[in-house]
Amino acid sequence: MPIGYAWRAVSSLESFRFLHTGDLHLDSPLEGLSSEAPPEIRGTLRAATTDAWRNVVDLALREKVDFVVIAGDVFEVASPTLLGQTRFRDGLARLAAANIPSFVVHGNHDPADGVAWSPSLAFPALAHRFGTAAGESAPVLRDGREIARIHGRSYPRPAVTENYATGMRGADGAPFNIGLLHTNVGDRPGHANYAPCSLDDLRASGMDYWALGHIHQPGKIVDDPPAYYSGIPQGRDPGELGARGCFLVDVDAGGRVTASFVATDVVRWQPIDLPITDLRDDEALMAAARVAIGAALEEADERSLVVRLRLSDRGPLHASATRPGYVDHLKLLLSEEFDGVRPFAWVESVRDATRSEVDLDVRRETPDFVGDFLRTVSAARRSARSTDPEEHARWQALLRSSVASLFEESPRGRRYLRATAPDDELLVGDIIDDAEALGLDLLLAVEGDG
Amino acid sequence: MRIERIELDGFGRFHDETWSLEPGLTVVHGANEAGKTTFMNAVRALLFGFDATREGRTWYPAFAGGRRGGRLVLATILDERWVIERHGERGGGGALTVRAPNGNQGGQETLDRLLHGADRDLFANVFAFGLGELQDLHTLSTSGVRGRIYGAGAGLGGASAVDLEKALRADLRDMFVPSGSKPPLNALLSRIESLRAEIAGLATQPQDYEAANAERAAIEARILVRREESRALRERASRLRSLRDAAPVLAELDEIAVRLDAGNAALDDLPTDVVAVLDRRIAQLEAAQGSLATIEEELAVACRERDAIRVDRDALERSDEIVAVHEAGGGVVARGASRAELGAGVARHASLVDDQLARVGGWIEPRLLELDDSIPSVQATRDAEERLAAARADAAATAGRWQAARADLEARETEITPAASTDDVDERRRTLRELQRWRAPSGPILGRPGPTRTAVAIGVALATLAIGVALGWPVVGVVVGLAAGAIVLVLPGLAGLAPHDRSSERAALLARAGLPSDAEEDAVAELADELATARARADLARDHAASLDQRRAEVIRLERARDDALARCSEAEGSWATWLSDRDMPADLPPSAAREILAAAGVARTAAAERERLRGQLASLEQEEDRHVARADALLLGLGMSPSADAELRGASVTALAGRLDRARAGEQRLVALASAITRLEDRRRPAADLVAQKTEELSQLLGAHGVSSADGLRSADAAAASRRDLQARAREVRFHLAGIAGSTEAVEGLAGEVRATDATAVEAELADVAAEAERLDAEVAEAHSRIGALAARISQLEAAEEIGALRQELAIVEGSAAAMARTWAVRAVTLRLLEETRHRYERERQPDVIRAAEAHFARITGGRYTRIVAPPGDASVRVETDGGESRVTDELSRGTAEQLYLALRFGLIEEFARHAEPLPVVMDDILVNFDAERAARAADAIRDLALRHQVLYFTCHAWTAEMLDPEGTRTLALA
Repeated sequence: MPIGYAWRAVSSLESFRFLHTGDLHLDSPLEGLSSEAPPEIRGTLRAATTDAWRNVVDLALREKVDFVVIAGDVFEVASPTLLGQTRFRDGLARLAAANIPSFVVHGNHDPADGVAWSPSLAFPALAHRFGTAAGESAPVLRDGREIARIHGRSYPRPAVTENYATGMRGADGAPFNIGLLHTNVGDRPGHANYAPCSLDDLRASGMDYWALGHIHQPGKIVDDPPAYYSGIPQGRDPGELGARGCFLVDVDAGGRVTASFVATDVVRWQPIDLPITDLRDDEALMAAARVAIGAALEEADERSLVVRLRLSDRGPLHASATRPGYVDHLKLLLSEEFDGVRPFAWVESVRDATRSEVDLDVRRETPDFVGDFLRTVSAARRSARSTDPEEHARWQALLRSSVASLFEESPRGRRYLRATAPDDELLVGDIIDDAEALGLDLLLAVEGDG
Repeated sequence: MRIERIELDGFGRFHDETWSLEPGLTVVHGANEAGKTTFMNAVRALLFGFDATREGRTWYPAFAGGRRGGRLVLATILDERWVIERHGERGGGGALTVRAPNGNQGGQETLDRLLHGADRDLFANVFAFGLGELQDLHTLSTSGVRGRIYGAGAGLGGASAVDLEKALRADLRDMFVPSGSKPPLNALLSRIESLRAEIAGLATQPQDYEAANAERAAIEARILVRREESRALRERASRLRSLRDAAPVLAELDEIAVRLDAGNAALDDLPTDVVAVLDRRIAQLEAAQGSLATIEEELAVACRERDAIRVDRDALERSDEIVAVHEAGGGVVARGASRAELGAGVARHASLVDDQLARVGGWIEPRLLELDDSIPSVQATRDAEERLAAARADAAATAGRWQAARADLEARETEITPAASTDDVDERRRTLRELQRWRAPSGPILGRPGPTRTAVAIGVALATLAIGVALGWPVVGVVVGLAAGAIVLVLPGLAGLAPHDRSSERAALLARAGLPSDAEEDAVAELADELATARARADLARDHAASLDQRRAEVIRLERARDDALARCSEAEGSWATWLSDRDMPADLPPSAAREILAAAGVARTAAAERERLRGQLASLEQEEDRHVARADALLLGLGMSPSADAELRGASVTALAGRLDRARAGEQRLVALASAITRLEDRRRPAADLVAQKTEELSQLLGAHGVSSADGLRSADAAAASRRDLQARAREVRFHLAGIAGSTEAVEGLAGEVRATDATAVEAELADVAAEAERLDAEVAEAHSRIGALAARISQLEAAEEIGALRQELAIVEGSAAAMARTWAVRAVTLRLLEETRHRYERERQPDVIRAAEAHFARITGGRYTRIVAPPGDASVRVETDGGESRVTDELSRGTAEQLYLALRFGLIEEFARHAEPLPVVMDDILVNFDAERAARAADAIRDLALRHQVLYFTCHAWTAEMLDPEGTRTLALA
């Protein structure tokens, strides 16, 4: 599906086609899985990034592209594996065997410092790796004639704060200039600000196409010259939702660019929110989950799904959902339901985020223990915004101490749960919301018994 | 709620005891060791389970008997009855049953609900306490006790906030414990640690890979150098081997040259095939000579054989006769056999005829052979046999039947007597009937027979029957008996017909009947019976006479039938006698024997015919044999041989004569053949002799051409020439070998020069050194290749190694799982903390109510000495203040006052609990002993007050305490 278009008058241009990819992160694990998958599915997940790379190469061969550009982060410097590098080299070799040259720059995850890239792996002659010096370019030849020129620069180390884009200029004599760079354009939040540059820098570069890497969400960021993030060929964590792939770029004789996104992923993350408002019983819940997962599979373009089911809202099933083991059983039943379906839909987790039907505002005003509990929770929440430093500190200490035995006092917890340890904001946010719901459920259950 | 009844099956000293308790106060009074404390602990045990002693022994075992445990009947304020039954031999909950008012049964959960969450601690410290508990304030401040007290008021039913907290703590512990390893979160964290360690262990793979590649490159370079060195060594070794190998070859070449120079060079012109030509010529000559000799030998043999043959002319001349007699002689043996066979046949059939004659006995052959044994004749014997048998059987049967009938008749005629006349009897019976009509005045009315008459009638009937049976006529006996009985019954009635006024007439009648005129009715009746019997006998005799007549007629008829049968029998026998006499057979011969003779006649006739036929054939054979003998004897005599009377010898002579004829014929044929052969052999002998002469000439010419006189001379010259040629060939081979060693023909000269200039020993020594060095290099290169193979495998393995990726994936999953669980844990931990916080706050806010109530009780017990209690929140210490503002901490109070304070606080807590839940029974064990009399009295008042709202059981061993609490003594229960 063409999603980009640009035009540039170049009289001596030949039409050609190339493939723009990047951020392969080969052989790195899929993150954020909170439960063990069956062996077959585990195998698929484990090989997802390398299989996606194979899909990219297959696409290039199938579409008979003239060349392939790879915009950095082929591996992760923190966890380089020879298998990943071998698979990458093998892919390049398949391209070279079909006389398709490839052009690679190093990014922050695989800088050209000799650590991530094994010097012993022999890359095919048609694979060109850009060095770390500014101003390097390589021509792309077809039948002895240059059809495009690639300008690229690799990271010498993981953290590059220098603006590389300003140093990359399109050559006047080249038929079509392509800038190949791993960069954060416009200081996008949530991403390390490496090789930072602005849209203006890109516009002023004299390039005819910017093949960018680093941001895993694919898409165009500027029209003229057309600049695209290829995105990651395979989403690696629950934050990388939806179809992932690369761009197939056609350049016509007039220099007009048509970039089409093509999905290359093997498996997709699929969060499903299931409100329980209208669900009367377990059967209805199962049926609704079945329908939702089935619909997601239908829309997944023949891809397998890692499903995260979240039960939400208020409804009569809330009491069931909060019972110990309920969501685990639901997960098990759904897994059995979709067992053997290919492409698979593996229910990775079921989370209960439902809430009691009790009117909290009314109940909070009731002079009883439940009311006291809700008022206590409100007081704790308020303390985050309290102007009384003593009150703020008291609650902060109280809440922190409640979780300290795991996250602070336990050496292993301190070491391995650092990323999970709730900060003050989270404690009075999501955590206290869930604690309020849990406490309320427990108290209401006891009250009901009484 | 109150305890309505306690039933102990067994507990300490109690066995099978029941106590019924009233609402309000009950004072349980008993001496020390009477069982008060046991009683209180039994209540605790039934409600909360059994304790063990500190030493682990069973607490209050049922040593008095029964199962340890019993029942409590609890009455609620709604007047419902709950029964709690608990038994157990060890510590712990034992077997608990809670029976609800509706009959449903429950367990611990039901009990907890019933007791509003009160547990053992709460009950022991607040509701059922002795001096020990009373003196300890800390027991009141434990969170369990506080939580229960306030929890009951928190509207949370049986489970208080404390239970929720406990459950949450258990949840948290189930997920994670700070120093544990088994809970899932601990296990996940351990797994993360081990996975990270494993990954770190594998993280050197890239370095390993580089090192392996570098080593492989270095080894490959070294192999190149070694290969070059090895090549040079191989070249040197090759040259040395050439020098070594060439030396002996050169020496041989030199020796051959010397020997050739010493020989006759002219022999080199002698054709190499001269001996072959010589041998061929000699062979041709010898073949021609052999052929000639063979022909001459065959000719001599043929002539000798021809001369030796003598032909039997006599035999040839009588050849036809000999052939005829010889052929006829072949039938002699067959004829002899036929004659013997025919003789045996004649004897066998003659014997068969004799057998048949012997079988019939007394018959001669012609008479037997004439007998007609046709089928009609045989059938006639069978018919006669049947007729005779039938007539004889009929005669015997009719005679038997006549005999039997006659005997029967005779027997009957002797048994039966003739019948007497019945006229007189009949007359007298008519008279009697008239008499009986006279007796009846009007109409014939038969009197009813009396019992006597009936008996008589039965007797008469039976007697008559007996007589009949005795006579052999039972039917007649029955008929007559019945008739006589009837008469006995009827006659007296008839007799009664006569009226009194006709007595004279009656007398006449009596006379006619042969009775006296005054005869009574009985006599008349008796006479009537007698007459009836006589009449019956007469009838019977008459019947017998008629039967005899019939039998006599039957005897006569049977006699006639017998005579007829005998006549038929005689007729049949006469007919058979005629048949026999017609055939001249004995008159007494039965038909079966006659049939036997007919059968023998048939067999004899057939055998006699066959015997005569065989005799004819035998005579014909004997005539033919006589003719053959005469002809043979004549021929033998004619050819000079002696005839013989013996048939066998004659046969042999004839056979010998036939052999003589065959030999004569063969001799004649051989003479003809030999004459032809001799002619052919003489035709072949002449050209063979010419060929021998030609081949002898050719051989002489060959020898002369090579200057020798004999074949042996030519052969010697040829051997010398061949020896020279061998030497020359060897010289060529050696030179070729040398060229091979030198590498080319051109290099031979150089090599030869070098060989002649070097010492062979030095060459050998150098060659050994070079070979050893080359071997070492080869081994080094092979080892290097092996190492390269291993490195290549390692490199491939590293390139394809998935472990590190798999471990990282697993680590990601485990970390994800740990994070998810940690979050769940965190939510629960925060929930717990919020619940604790809420409960503390609730307790702080509710505590004044408890303290106020306690203050009132304390002031009352101390007579207003202390008016205020201060219990700071979160602080276990309690202060009291006097009315005058004097403040004291508990440590500063006297023992009694401190106990009064604690009692007041307990009362406060009990009342606080009761504000929100059903009041529980309160049990106190002699807690007033340390109070002074005044305060004890006031405390007793307070206890009685409490008993208005709670059931109170007060145990004491002091009579004064019991009296103080229950002055009327109506609420005191004495424990023996």
